[in-house]
Amino acid sequence: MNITQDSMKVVEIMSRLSIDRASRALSKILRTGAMILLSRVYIADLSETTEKMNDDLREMTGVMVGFKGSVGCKLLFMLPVNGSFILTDLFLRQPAGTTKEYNEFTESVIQELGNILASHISNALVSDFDATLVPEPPHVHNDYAGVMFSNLVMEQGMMDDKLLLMETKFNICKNELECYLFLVPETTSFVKLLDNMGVKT
Amino acid sequence: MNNTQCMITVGVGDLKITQAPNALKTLLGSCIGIILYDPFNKIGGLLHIMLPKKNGSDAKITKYANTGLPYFIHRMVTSAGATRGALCAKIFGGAKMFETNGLLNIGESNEIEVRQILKEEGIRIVSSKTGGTKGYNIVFDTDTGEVTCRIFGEAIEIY
Repeated sequence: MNITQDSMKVVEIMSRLSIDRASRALSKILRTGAMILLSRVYIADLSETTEKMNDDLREMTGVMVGFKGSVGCKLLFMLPVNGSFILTDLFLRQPAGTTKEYNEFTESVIQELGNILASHISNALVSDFDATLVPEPPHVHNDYAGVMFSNLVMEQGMMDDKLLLMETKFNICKNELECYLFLVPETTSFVKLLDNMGVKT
Repeated sequence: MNNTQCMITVGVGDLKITQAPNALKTLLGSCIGIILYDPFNKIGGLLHIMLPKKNGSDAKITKYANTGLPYFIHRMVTSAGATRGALCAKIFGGAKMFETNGLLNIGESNEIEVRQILKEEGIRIVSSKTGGTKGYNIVFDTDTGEVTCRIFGEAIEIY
């Protein structure tokens, strides 16, 4: 996979804009400050990056959303299982501490949050960069962080040993919630989008 | 894990070979983790394959069972000094994960291919734990040959 430094900068700007929209949408829906910050956009080696993630044995709740259209892409939003209880209470406007165990409400909330994040990220790319992205139904899963990450990169990893990865940090006001949002675009279609925009890859 | 032991993590599509007292570990979803072990020389390796067959032009042969497994056996014998006839295998993983992957039971296809190749190579599978819908956390101790396996949400088991 060859992407020039200039192209990477464009990708970074695109990611920042789309993630900013998702962040604002999330703040609105949770009625509290939710800030998603793009930590880095980079080309990662499949084995090296999964090796690092395979050291992460935390039990997480994650939602994965696939996108179809002119730019194929995959999104994974994950957080520690007990963090999903806090999000459930915020989302359902319940007093903090109401949700004490993972149940169908928690699953629905995480699924809905995945939907919201995916829709806003795709809206930004569609309106600002003339791409077509249609989110597929989100799938919620509880597992080790490393396993979820491996599943996210698996399809792209079948085609290439290198991955284009967008990694974010996530803060929810007044709650020490460690959330992760990863975006893995299908490299070939993403390069095509950059070409269409006149960015030399 | 004792004081002298080094824990080596294996990534997706990767192969690592070591000897006692070191340990190898990985996390598995639909991928299969294949352990080859020579109990006499206490040499062991872990191959983390993603797919049953290589059909693209990408360089990494250890992502696929049909190219990675013969290479693994070759490396165990020629580079690591294991005895071919002493090799035994343990296999883990092959779960059916997120449905959004569009990869219809890739875990099962991986397992079938791995079992077939090991049979052709004349290497006995001494233990295995495959299938399900959750991830596997495995740690292979090259000193004892034991594999500690914990499926997400379940108790630890030794194989």
